[in-house]
Amino acid sequence: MDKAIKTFSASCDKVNIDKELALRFLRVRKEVDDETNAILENCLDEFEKAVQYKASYRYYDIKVEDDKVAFEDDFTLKSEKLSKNLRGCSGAFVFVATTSIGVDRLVNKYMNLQLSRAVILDSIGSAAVESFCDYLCKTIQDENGLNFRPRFSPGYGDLNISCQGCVLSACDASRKIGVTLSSNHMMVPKKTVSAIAGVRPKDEVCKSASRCENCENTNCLYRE
Amino acid sequence: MDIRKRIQNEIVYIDGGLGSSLIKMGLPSGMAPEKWNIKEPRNIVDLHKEYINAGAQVLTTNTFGANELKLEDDEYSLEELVFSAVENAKVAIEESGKTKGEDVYVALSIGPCGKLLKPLGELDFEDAVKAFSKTAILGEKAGADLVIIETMSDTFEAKAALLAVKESTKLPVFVTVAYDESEKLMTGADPLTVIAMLEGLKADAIGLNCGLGPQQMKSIVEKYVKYSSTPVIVSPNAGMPKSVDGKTVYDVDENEFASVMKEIAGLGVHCLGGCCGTTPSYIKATVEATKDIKAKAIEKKNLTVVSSYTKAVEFKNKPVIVGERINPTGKKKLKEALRENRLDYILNEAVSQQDKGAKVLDINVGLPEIDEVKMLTDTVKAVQAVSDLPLQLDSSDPVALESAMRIYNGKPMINSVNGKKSSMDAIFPLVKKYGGVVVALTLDENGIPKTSNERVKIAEKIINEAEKYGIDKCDIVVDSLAMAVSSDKNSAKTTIESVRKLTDDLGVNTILGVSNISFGLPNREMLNSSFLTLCFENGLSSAIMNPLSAKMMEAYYSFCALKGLDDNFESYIAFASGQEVAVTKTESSDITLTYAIEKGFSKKAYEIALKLLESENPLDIINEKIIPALNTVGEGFEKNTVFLPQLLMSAEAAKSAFDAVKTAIKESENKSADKIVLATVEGDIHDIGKNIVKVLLENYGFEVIDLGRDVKPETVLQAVLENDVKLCGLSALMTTTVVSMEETIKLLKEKAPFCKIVVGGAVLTQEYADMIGASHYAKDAMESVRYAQTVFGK
Repeated sequence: MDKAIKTFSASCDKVNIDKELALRFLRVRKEVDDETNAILENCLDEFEKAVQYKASYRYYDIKVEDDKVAFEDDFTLKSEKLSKNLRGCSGAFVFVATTSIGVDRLVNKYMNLQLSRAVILDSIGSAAVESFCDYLCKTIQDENGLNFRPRFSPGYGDLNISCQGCVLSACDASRKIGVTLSSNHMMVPKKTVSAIAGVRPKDEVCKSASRCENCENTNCLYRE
Repeated sequence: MDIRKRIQNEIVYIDGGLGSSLIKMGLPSGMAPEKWNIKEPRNIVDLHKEYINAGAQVLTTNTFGANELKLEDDEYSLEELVFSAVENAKVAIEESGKTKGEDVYVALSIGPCGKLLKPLGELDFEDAVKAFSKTAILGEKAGADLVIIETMSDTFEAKAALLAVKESTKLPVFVTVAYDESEKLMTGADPLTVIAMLEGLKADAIGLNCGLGPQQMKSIVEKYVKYSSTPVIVSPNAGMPKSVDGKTVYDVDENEFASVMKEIAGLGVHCLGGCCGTTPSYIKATVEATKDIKAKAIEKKNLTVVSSYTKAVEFKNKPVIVGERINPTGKKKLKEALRENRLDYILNEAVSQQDKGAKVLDINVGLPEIDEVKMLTDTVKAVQAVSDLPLQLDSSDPVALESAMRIYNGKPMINSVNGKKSSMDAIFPLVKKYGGVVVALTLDENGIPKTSNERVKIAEKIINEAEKYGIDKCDIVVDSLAMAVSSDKNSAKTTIESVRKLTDDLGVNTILGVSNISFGLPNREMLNSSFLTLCFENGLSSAIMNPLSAKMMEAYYSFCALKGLDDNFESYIAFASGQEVAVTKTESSDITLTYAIEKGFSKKAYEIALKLLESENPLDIINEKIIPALNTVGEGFEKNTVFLPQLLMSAEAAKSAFDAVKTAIKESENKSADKIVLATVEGDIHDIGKNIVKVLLENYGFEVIDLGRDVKPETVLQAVLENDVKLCGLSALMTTTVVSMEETIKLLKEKAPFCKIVVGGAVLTQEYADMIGASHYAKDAMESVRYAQTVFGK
């Protein structure tokens, strides 16, 4: 497997933004009327003018133990949940995917001018980066004839978010795609996802699990 | 020889990849490369020596990440790392039998600090300057011959670094930035935008490195050579990385690299080097391939360009519209907004002028009773967060100008200098230091001359004086002053003549605040628009005017269309068809204020409220129409029949109705509102939720003291104490920042026990809120409002 850090970008027509997810972030759980839909579409247009989908990723051989996973000699992540997620895998892709700084500018702009629009654009951004991750993962899987386990991100479950720095440097994300880290391990641009996707052993059957199924936060407002 | 001289007349070779070479030499992964300056100095010296052997004349030190913001090293100090890095380069030169500063130069490498600057990130501009200064001062002390600021992907950070080196050292400074395939920086700037800013700040050489291979860089290099009057540097990667047998290799070999570098050198580049993946053999091949190419003489391009962080505006054939509306002269509403520190009014003016076709925005916030230095600086920051247009910083106070020029992201326009010695003495040093295109008014100690010839003379005097500071004529735009035609019937004629002469005889760009011409006469737009056309026809390069005036824009678009300045009449057609739509859309429908608010029609709500004022008491409008409408929407939200964006749109509509009504409320009736402090806690930059709460609280009549995001516990406490506030709202997004929420609560409970604390945010739950000692947990914005109502007994 090629272990060089790769970069990836996608045009808007390749990333099908999950509108339902965007609405869920807005806590809309019913059919929307035409007026609202028109506003949403209008925001989507403006969003797509600002977005630039970029990712950097690399493959690692991994060693999974009960409560930690070693990514070659580069770094080791301590987490039972991650170990569980990657059990049986001998390799994983580490990636960082972003909608880029134009989206932050757009949301910031409306935060000052028209908050309702900022909130909609922010939700579209959250949904878009998820959809982009789906597209990225699908592309890597197809290109390499692989299947991934559900992706797992720093800060999720018992994987401490302080490992964000390791994951970002593994992908050289600052230099390759302009993703930086704030002092509290938050990524800027904000609509950015870093994650680990285990490569399923050859004969493993895929169970398509809902994104929320394995999450312990059952009170979450955004739960499917 | 000073390297600045050398690069004027010859091609100079810089070394190639350092980090990628060190990894090949066995640098353990995860270890900061700078540590090897001390742990394995021999490896570094040997690599430098190989580069010298290959023909490199500039060694970049192993200090790319040596920055106090990036390198948290408990083993070595910044000083030790920088000194050892420069020492290693010096040793390599000595062991190679070369002379430092003559045959081979030591360049202190400064890379990005790894943090994004405000407003998008959390790093303050001046903190970035401080951090870069520290490294630069150490580098100079250690004996570096120059500084190379490299791989910058944000114009603002590049400006901070360049300013830092210039202010804290005497070293020559080169700056290279990293483009992606779209020929833009990560933060969106194209080549001209970057060149304008870096040349304005007087970098000694500018160019590009990293990001791309040589082939992909070619078209960007062409632009650099076309626009830049400063020597150009090109240091590509060895193509794209891939791994072979577990080792990272790059897909362009030294021969291919060198052959493209030969083409690049032929374009007129003065410094050639390499970045990631390039090794001494790449530099050797490049030196070989280009040794017969003679350096082209560097030509002044004489372009007049202003820029923001993503956009450059060139003063060329097509006149440039400078939006005049952010200037309190004669504008009651703006004056009020400035006095009340309401930036949202100004930001709306900025965006609407941009929407209507302004290409540059004038920013003047001078009022006798406000602190102009702070106001201008804050306004520039705020406007740059909502508009990507270049700004014209407009003030008569040089201190305010300097403060704004410093934090401006790009190359600004400056309004203005004039022919008085005192003015030139104050303004030109600023333009020299920070860069900019300066508006020069043709007046001096004797006032405004009556004749065009005398005005041209003053312009000449200003241009000559500017030259002494190294400010080129292309960075001066002359304003020959449009004076009211009503007080002197020849004044328009004189101004137009002056524009003609300035254009033809001096070859300088011109600008006019055109609206002055009609002062004291009726139907001013009629006169203004004709005057504008006359001036354009006589060569006027740019007009400071109101882009919201349809008449003025008609004159502008017509002129461009008639003079062949509008390809395919695109702008003209877009403008004309936009007007038709506007005409058909003005019919008014019979809707009520309540309906407008419930539906979230802001503009309508404002209009109806204004109209209602003719027949109703303002307080009745508020209590009987606005508040009930808000309540309906708020209750709907709580019952899940109205969702968040609708709630906010209604809130915005209610706010504009309030704005309309507020002006009619007598001071005596306007009882003071209950105050609430809001903040997103220290370390957290996600504040959208806090802003939602703010809008709703204001709707319900509370006065919100918004401290913003990333707020220290002490700042919250101070605001609570100073304003004697009974309720404070805190938001946090992540588990890591709930810790600082807890600290803030602890501090408030200890020092301001009278203040209740309501908390909210993505990770918070009731249990969590109880655990950290909050008075109340609000699961959404409406609940914050309800809680506030209970606290204040409403």
